[in-house]
Amino acid sequence: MSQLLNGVLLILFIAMGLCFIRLLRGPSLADRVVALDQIAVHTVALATVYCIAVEQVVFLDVAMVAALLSFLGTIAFARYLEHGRDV
Amino acid sequence: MSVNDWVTLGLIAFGVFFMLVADIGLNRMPDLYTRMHATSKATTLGITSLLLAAAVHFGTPEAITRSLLVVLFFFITAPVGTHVLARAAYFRKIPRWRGTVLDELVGHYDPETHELESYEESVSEAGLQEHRHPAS
Repeated sequence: MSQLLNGVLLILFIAMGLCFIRLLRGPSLADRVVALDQIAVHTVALATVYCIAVEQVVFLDVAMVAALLSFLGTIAFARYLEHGRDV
Repeated sequence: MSVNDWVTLGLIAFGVFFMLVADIGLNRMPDLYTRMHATSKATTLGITSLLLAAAVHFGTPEAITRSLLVVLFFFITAPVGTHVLARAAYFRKIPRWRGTVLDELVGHYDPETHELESYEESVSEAGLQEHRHPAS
Protein backbone atom coordinates (compact mmCIF):
# COMPACT_ATOMS: atom_id res chain seq x y z
CA MET A 1 0.00 0.00 0.00
CA SER A 2 2.71 2.46 1.06
CA GLN A 3 4.86 1.66 -2.01
CA LEU A 4 1.87 2.18 -4.32
CA LEU A 5 1.09 5.51 -2.70
CA ASN A 6 4.69 6.61 -3.19
CA GLY A 7 4.26 5.84 -6.88
CA VAL A 8 1.05 7.89 -6.92
CA LEU A 9 2.89 10.82 -5.32
CA LEU A 10 5.57 10.55 -8.02
CA ILE A 11 2.92 10.59 -10.77
CA LEU A 12 1.34 13.67 -9.20
CA PHE A 13 4.71 15.41 -9.13
CA ILE A 14 5.23 14.65 -12.81
CA ALA A 15 1.74 15.99 -13.54
CA MET A 16 2.67 19.16 -11.63
CA GLY A 17 5.73 19.46 -13.87
CA LEU A 18 3.43 19.43 -16.90
CA CYS A 19 1.64 22.45 -15.39
CA PHE A 20 4.98 24.22 -15.06
CA ILE A 21 5.56 23.75 -18.80
CA ARG A 22 2.35 25.68 -19.50
CA LEU A 23 3.32 28.27 -16.86
CA LEU A 24 6.60 28.93 -18.66
CA ARG A 25 5.25 28.84 -22.23
CA GLY A 26 2.33 31.23 -21.70
CA PRO A 27 1.57 32.69 -24.24
CA SER A 28 -0.77 35.15 -22.46
CA LEU A 29 -0.92 36.10 -18.78
CA ALA A 30 -4.32 34.40 -18.46
CA ASP A 31 -2.78 31.08 -19.55
CA ARG A 32 -0.21 31.42 -16.80
CA VAL A 33 -2.94 32.12 -14.25
CA VAL A 34 -4.77 28.96 -15.36
CA ALA A 35 -1.53 27.01 -14.95
CA LEU A 36 -0.98 28.49 -11.46
CA ASP A 37 -4.53 27.54 -10.48
CA GLN A 38 -3.86 24.03 -11.70
CA ILE A 39 -0.63 23.87 -9.66
CA ALA A 40 -2.62 24.82 -6.55
CA VAL A 41 -5.10 22.01 -7.33
CA HIS A 42 -2.13 19.66 -7.51
CA THR A 43 -0.94 20.90 -4.12
CA VAL A 44 -4.31 19.93 -2.65
CA ALA A 45 -4.12 16.52 -4.35
CA LEU A 46 -0.58 15.94 -3.05
CA ALA A 47 -1.60 16.87 0.51
CA THR A 48 -4.55 14.47 0.33
CA VAL A 49 -2.53 11.52 -0.99
CA TYR A 50 0.23 12.26 1.52
CA CYS A 51 -2.25 12.23 4.40
CA ILE A 52 -3.34 8.74 3.29
CA ALA A 53 0.28 7.60 2.88
CA VAL A 54 1.41 8.66 6.38
CA GLU A 55 -1.93 7.90 8.11
CA GLN A 56 -2.29 11.43 9.48
CA VAL A 57 -5.69 13.13 9.20
CA VAL A 58 -4.07 16.48 10.05
CA PHE A 59 -2.81 16.94 6.49
CA LEU A 60 -6.39 17.34 5.29
CA ASP A 61 -6.26 20.77 6.94
CA VAL A 62 -3.32 21.63 4.68
CA ALA A 63 -5.47 20.68 1.69
CA MET A 64 -8.28 22.91 2.97
CA VAL A 65 -6.04 25.96 3.46
CA ALA A 66 -4.36 25.45 0.07
CA ALA A 67 -7.77 25.34 -1.59
CA LEU A 68 -8.84 28.58 0.12
CA LEU A 69 -5.65 30.44 -0.79
CA SER A 70 -5.66 29.28 -4.41
CA PHE A 71 -9.22 30.55 -4.87
CA LEU A 72 -8.29 33.97 -3.48
CA GLY A 73 -5.20 34.10 -5.71
CA THR A 74 -7.20 33.26 -8.84
CA ILE A 75 -9.82 35.90 -8.07
CA ALA A 76 -7.16 38.54 -7.41
CA PHE A 77 -5.31 37.75 -10.64
CA ALA A 78 -8.56 37.82 -12.62
CA ARG A 79 -9.52 41.21 -11.17
CA TYR A 80 -6.10 42.53 -12.12
CA LEU A 81 -6.43 41.14 -15.65
CA GLU A 82 -9.86 42.69 -16.13
CA HIS A 83 -9.34 46.14 -14.63
CA GLY A 84 -5.58 46.70 -14.79
CA ARG A 85 -3.98 48.65 -11.98
CA ASP A 86 -7.03 50.63 -10.84
CA VAL A 87 -8.90 47.78 -9.17
CA MET B 1 -5.35 -5.85 1.66
CA SER B 2 -8.91 -5.37 2.82
CA VAL B 3 -11.89 -4.20 0.78
CA ASN B 4 -11.42 -0.75 2.29
CA ASP B 5 -7.89 -0.54 0.85
CA TRP B 6 -9.05 -1.65 -2.58
CA VAL B 7 -11.78 1.01 -2.68
CA THR B 8 -9.24 3.62 -1.56
CA LEU B 9 -6.76 2.59 -4.24
CA GLY B 10 -9.46 2.54 -6.91
CA LEU B 11 -10.58 6.05 -6.03
CA ILE B 12 -6.97 7.29 -5.98
CA ALA B 13 -6.27 5.73 -9.38
CA PHE B 14 -9.43 7.33 -10.80
CA GLY B 15 -8.48 10.73 -9.39
CA VAL B 16 -4.85 10.65 -10.49
CA PHE B 17 -5.92 9.55 -13.98
CA PHE B 18 -8.11 12.63 -14.32
CA MET B 19 -5.39 14.92 -12.93
CA LEU B 20 -3.01 13.60 -15.60
CA VAL B 21 -5.61 13.95 -18.36
CA ALA B 22 -6.25 17.54 -17.30
CA ASP B 23 -2.52 18.34 -17.45
CA ILE B 24 -2.14 16.79 -20.88
CA GLY B 25 -5.14 18.86 -21.97
CA LEU B 26 -3.59 21.97 -20.44
CA ASN B 27 -0.56 21.48 -22.66
CA ARG B 28 -2.22 20.19 -25.82
CA MET B 29 -5.34 22.37 -26.21
CA PRO B 30 -5.12 25.18 -28.77
CA ASP B 31 -6.36 28.25 -26.88
CA LEU B 32 -7.13 29.58 -23.39
CA TYR B 33 -10.82 28.71 -23.29
CA THR B 34 -10.33 25.07 -24.28
CA ARG B 35 -7.49 24.81 -21.77
CA MET B 36 -9.77 26.04 -19.00
CA HIS B 37 -12.29 23.43 -20.09
CA ALA B 38 -9.61 20.76 -19.72
CA THR B 39 -8.42 21.84 -16.26
CA SER B 40 -11.91 21.87 -14.77
CA LYS B 41 -11.86 18.04 -14.99
CA ALA B 42 -8.98 17.96 -12.50
CA THR B 43 -10.79 20.11 -9.96
CA THR B 44 -14.11 18.28 -10.07
CA LEU B 45 -13.47 14.60 -10.82
CA GLY B 46 -9.81 14.38 -9.75
CA ILE B 47 -9.85 16.20 -6.43
CA THR B 48 -13.27 14.83 -5.47
CA SER B 49 -12.26 11.21 -5.87
CA LEU B 50 -8.94 11.75 -4.08
CA LEU B 51 -10.70 13.33 -1.10
CA LEU B 52 -13.33 10.60 -1.10
CA ALA B 53 -10.45 8.12 -1.01
CA ALA B 54 -9.15 9.84 2.13
CA ALA B 55 -12.64 9.71 3.67
CA VAL B 56 -13.01 5.98 2.87
CA HIS B 57 -9.50 5.18 4.10
CA PHE B 58 -9.82 6.81 7.53
CA GLY B 59 -13.54 6.35 8.02
CA THR B 60 -13.54 8.57 11.11
CA PRO B 61 -16.08 11.40 11.42
CA GLU B 62 -13.38 14.09 11.45
CA ALA B 63 -11.76 12.83 8.23
CA ILE B 64 -15.12 12.46 6.48
CA THR B 65 -16.31 15.94 7.46
CA ARG B 66 -13.04 17.55 6.37
CA SER B 67 -13.00 15.73 3.04
CA LEU B 68 -16.59 16.60 2.27
CA LEU B 69 -15.97 20.23 3.31
CA VAL B 70 -13.08 20.56 0.87
CA VAL B 71 -15.15 18.88 -1.87
CA LEU B 72 -18.04 21.27 -1.20
CA PHE B 73 -15.65 24.21 -1.21
CA PHE B 74 -14.20 23.16 -4.58
CA PHE B 75 -17.65 22.70 -6.05
CA ILE B 76 -18.56 26.25 -5.01
CA THR B 77 -15.31 28.03 -5.90
CA ALA B 78 -14.17 26.24 -9.09
CA PRO B 79 -17.03 27.58 -11.30
CA VAL B 80 -16.69 31.06 -9.80
CA GLY B 81 -12.93 31.22 -10.37
CA THR B 82 -13.20 29.84 -13.90
CA HIS B 83 -15.96 32.28 -14.80
CA VAL B 84 -14.14 35.32 -13.44
CA LEU B 85 -10.95 34.35 -15.25
CA ALA B 86 -12.67 33.60 -18.56
CA ARG B 87 -14.54 36.89 -18.31
CA ALA B 88 -11.30 38.80 -17.73
CA ALA B 89 -9.70 37.01 -20.68
CA TYR B 90 -12.71 37.88 -22.85
CA PHE B 91 -12.37 41.58 -22.06
CA ARG B 92 -8.63 41.37 -22.69
CA LYS B 93 -9.49 39.96 -26.17
CA ILE B 94 -7.22 36.97 -25.76
CA PRO B 95 -7.06 35.33 -29.22
CA ARG B 96 -9.32 32.39 -29.87
CA TRP B 97 -8.53 29.22 -31.75
CA ARG B 98 -9.06 29.77 -35.48
CA GLY B 99 -11.62 26.95 -35.55
CA THR B 100 -13.97 28.79 -33.16
CA VAL B 101 -17.36 29.13 -34.90
CA LEU B 102 -19.63 30.90 -32.41
CA ASP B 103 -19.28 33.82 -30.02
CA GLU B 104 -22.69 34.56 -28.54
CA LEU B 105 -21.35 37.44 -26.41
CA VAL B 106 -20.33 39.72 -29.31
CA GLY B 107 -21.90 43.15 -28.77
CA HIS B 108 -23.68 42.18 -25.56
CA TYR B 109 -21.03 43.49 -23.16
CA ASP B 110 -20.68 47.20 -22.43
CA PRO B 111 -16.99 47.91 -23.13
CA GLU B 112 -16.91 50.80 -20.61
CA THR B 113 -18.75 49.44 -17.57
CA HIS B 114 -18.15 45.71 -18.28
CA GLU B 115 -21.84 45.04 -17.74
CA LEU B 116 -23.80 42.40 -19.61
CA GLU B 117 -26.99 43.80 -21.11
CA SER B 118 -30.29 42.35 -20.03
CA TYR B 119 -32.28 39.83 -22.03
CA GLU B 120 -34.93 42.39 -23.04
CA GLU B 121 -32.32 44.75 -24.46
CA SER B 122 -30.68 42.06 -26.55
CA VAL B 123 -34.03 40.86 -27.92
CA SER B 124 -35.09 44.36 -28.96
CA GLU B 125 -31.71 45.06 -30.59
CA ALA B 126 -30.84 41.90 -32.43
CA GLY B 127 -34.10 39.99 -32.62
CA LEU B 128 -32.34 36.96 -31.09
CA GLN B 129 -30.19 36.36 -34.17
CA GLU B 130 -26.95 34.47 -33.80
CA HIS B 131 -23.72 36.43 -33.80
CA ARG B 132 -21.07 34.66 -35.82
CA HIS B 133 -17.43 34.92 -35.05
CA PRO B 134 -15.65 36.79 -37.88
CA ALA B 135 -13.17 33.96 -38.39
CA SER B 136 -15.79 31.50 -39.60
